[in-house]
Amino acid sequence: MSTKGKSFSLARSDMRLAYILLAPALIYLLCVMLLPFLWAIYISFTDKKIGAPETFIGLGNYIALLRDKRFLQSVQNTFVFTASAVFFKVVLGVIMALVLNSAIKARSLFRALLILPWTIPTVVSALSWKWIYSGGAGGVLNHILKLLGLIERDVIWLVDEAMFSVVLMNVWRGAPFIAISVLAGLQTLPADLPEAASIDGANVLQRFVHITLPGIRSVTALAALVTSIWTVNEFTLIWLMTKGGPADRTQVISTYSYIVGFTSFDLGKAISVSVLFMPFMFLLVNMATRQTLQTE
Amino acid sequence: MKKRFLVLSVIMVLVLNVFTACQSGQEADSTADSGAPASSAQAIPSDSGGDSGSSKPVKLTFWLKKTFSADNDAMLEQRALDYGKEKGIEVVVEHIPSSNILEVFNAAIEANNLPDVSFLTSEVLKTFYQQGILAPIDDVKTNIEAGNGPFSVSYASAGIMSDGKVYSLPLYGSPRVLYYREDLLQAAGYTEPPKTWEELREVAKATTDEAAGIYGFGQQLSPCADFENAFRGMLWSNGGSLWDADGNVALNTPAVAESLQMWIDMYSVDKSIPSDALSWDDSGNNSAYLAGTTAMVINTNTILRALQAEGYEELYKNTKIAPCPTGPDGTRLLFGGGCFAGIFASTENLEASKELLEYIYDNDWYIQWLSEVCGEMTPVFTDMAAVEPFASTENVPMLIDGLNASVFPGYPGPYTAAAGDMTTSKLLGYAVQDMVMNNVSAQDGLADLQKTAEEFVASR
Repeated sequence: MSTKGKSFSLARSDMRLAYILLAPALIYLLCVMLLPFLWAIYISFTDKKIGAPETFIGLGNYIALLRDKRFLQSVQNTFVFTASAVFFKVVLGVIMALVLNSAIKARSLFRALLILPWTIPTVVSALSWKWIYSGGAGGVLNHILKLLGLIERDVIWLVDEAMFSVVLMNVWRGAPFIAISVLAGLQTLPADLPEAASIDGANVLQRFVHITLPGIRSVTALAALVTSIWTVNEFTLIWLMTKGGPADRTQVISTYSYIVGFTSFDLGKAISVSVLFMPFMFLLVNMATRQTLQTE
Repeated sequence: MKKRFLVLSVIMVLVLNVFTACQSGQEADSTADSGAPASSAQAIPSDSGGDSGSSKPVKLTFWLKKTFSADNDAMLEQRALDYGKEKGIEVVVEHIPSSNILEVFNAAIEANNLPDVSFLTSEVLKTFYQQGILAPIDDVKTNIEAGNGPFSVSYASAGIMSDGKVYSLPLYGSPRVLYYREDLLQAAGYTEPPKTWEELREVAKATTDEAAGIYGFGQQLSPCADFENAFRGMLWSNGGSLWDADGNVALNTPAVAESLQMWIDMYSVDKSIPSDALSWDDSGNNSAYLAGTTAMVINTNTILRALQAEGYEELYKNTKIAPCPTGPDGTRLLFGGGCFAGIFASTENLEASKELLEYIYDNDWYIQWLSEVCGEMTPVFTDMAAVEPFASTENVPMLIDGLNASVFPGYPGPYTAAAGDMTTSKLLGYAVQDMVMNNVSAQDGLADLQKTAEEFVASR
């Protein structure tokens, strides 16, 4: 057999092996993800209520949603929540990573402490922050701010500053993930480049902008995209802290879908809420996937 | 071509795995974060099976509502397990957290995975009946009443459906009462608790001391069951209602506007309701009272139970209980809270399920059970008011009066599934929150709410 024929045969058997190895995952995904996903799309075109059979109503749910003030508010809130939380998580995460990458005393201890927020279960974090934000007795944040002379009266954080409060909590929880990812990227950068730049007279900012930042751009972008996907889907934190209130001020897509489905029993409409948001999610996932393949 | 297919398959696996990661709630979370209800199950393996001659081992699943009293829950669970032991059948008991009741039921209905016997809340009775998932239990009611005397008429009526049959029985009552701080009221010059809602407003104003962090009335203005139930009690007592006698939504009326505006004014004008009450869930009013920051609160007996725990001795000493305020003409109507029990029609063991219910309602055991948690759950049998220890236990006569003054969603019209659904969807709570945050009067806000409620009912 010629060399060319032999390599073609090997490639074919490699492909066959690849299909066989992929098959269990694909079958699992088909049964557990794809089929329920397609069923959900179908249900979004029906008037399905819990405990009752469905009737096909075409685009009825989607038209109702586009006229639903609460849904439109939740879309707006989702973008505001995601954009602000991701921005601050990236900024804080990069700063944390730069600090943790430098030669500071007890660096390992700081790394462990700074990663803690990300590892604590969301329920524990949310309930703790709820207590911290409490406007009545035991409101630690108000107490500290009053001691520092920054406020005179208690701020009702989960009422008057509800969106700020949930964003702050989300940033506290999510910044460590960005920090870990960027830190990993920083540690792959050659150490001699900044040193050489320093010898050539570059200051800290110039070294960061022209050497460090380009080096961590890809990993930061990927971490930001992944955290965006998680943030858009955030449910537990917002539900436990505000349940989307007060007066829908922190209502996001996930909490609105939950309310429509589980407390108003309207499954068809609840699923439509999620389906309407899917194109945006696909865009984010596509960007993350391309970034991953580009990095490779 | 094949290579492209392989690459696309890899991409699809990656993409769908990212979705899986999103929906699993992020890697750092434990499974407890997924919101799954805390439930436990105990099973006794059957050494002989069969129900009505069937050779298949009988297994019953019994859902209990997880209450604030672990002792109460444990006693009821043991009773169910004892039934299984006695009859040689397997009984599996699962505890459903009260914060997740609706979600758990809805998921079970859609998955066709309902238990055999279960607790039920008053808001879901009509909805479940309409969905055709409850089994009639007229014979069970007859047998129980033969041993215990008649059920409280008002409570029992909730379980009787439009076909005249019984689909649910009250298990215990939790009528609302007014808890008040005797020391704070006395300091403000009041020796008696308020009798009417107007008086409550005055007392709340007088006992509020914002600088000291004390508020006269610790009640929610948010979408939660405590607000929905307490406000309805106030509204009905004041002569208003959300539905008309024919079962139509009729909440855009002067009577509703007046009661709602009063509640809002207590918050916005009098400032006798804590500022963060707009964000409270069902535990908010309990927490505020137990923290000593409110002078009065309307709640079920859960607060009394909590006050008996260590660390609350001083607060317990200063806390008194009174009937809920009345309207100006002395009318007192309460939202029918408490717990019901029923059998789901999907059960494969109907006779065993019925026997389990009757076993739980056994007169001697029932009296012992409620005696252990006396003051928290109220017996739902009219004759038990005269039975020891209830007859000589403080507050029990008042609680039983509360049972008899209870009505259900839809009042003064029929208790319909739509009325129950509207209560569980908390439309009123969302609306009042909106009115306060956006400075909209009750009159204006109710016009919008009427429309929303009509659309909601039409969509059922």
